Amino acid sequence: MNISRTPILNEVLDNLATIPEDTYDYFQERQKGRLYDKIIRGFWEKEKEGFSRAQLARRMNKRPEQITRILAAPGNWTLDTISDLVLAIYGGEIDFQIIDFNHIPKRNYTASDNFSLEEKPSTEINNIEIVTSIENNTRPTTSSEIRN
Amino acid sequence: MSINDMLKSHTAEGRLKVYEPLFPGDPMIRALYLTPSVCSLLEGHTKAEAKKGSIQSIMDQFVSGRVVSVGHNRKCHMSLLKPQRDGIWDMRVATPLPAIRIFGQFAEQDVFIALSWEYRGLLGRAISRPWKTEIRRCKAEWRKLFPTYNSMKGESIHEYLTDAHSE
Repeated sequence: MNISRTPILNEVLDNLATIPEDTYDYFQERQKGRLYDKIIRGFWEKEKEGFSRAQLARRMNKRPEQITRILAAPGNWTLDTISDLVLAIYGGEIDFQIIDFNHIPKRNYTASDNFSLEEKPSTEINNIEIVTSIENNTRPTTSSEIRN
Repeated sequence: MSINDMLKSHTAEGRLKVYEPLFPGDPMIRALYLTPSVCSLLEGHTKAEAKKGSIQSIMDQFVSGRVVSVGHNRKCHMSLLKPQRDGIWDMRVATPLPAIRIFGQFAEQDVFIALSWEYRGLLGRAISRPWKTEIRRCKAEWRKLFPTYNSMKGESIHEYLTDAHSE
């Protein structure tokens, strides 16, 4: 038996409906969670190349314990925090893109399809783009292009 | 009967429910099972319904395989409670107030069974009697569901969770 889901996108897509407060809460936390995922994964990649928390602290002109606190959880992140982290970790900035909920792909399976952890679907989890280089008169390189 | 068979049986008979991400495009990478008590948080049977959006967002973070922050900071997504050898975890829903803690245990790596919940304000300090009571309740719920299996006990948080970031 699976949980019946709130038709969350229906109320968002209905231009005449008032969006409930808990839907706003959901998307606020979701954005923080997605950004946290992107930034921490970027930091892990840098760590593999030898970049340390101490180096990140120096780069951000903060004490190492402040960096530990910032990276611990996204709860208190502001747009300024995010900008600073992306700049210091990626040497870039976030490329904003509004996703139209009319066109999001749906899962083609549910938990009731005997979903097993051994058969994890390979899915792009996070499509936030980070711009890492800009040359004159050329399109910036984005993180997904680097991955490819 | 393996623990996976027990999970299927509990799910089929309504003792556990599989949580699916609220956002339709999100993948299911980790598994989250909820007892009816935890489900009530999402189904409007409690005063905590006002927090439904934040709770579902944290559950989505877990199930969708995004990085989970682990630590004792109240803003972390999850924490391994002391004594760590018990393998009891909580999911932390800090905002909006009042804060809520959802308690549970791992059946295996990335398979979390959310067993019970309580308002953070009613739990007091970390070593207080209400905390101990909640931990006992969590263990009792586990034993009721899986009398022949112990929950997972790991040496580090990474044995419980892939892609976890600790303080």
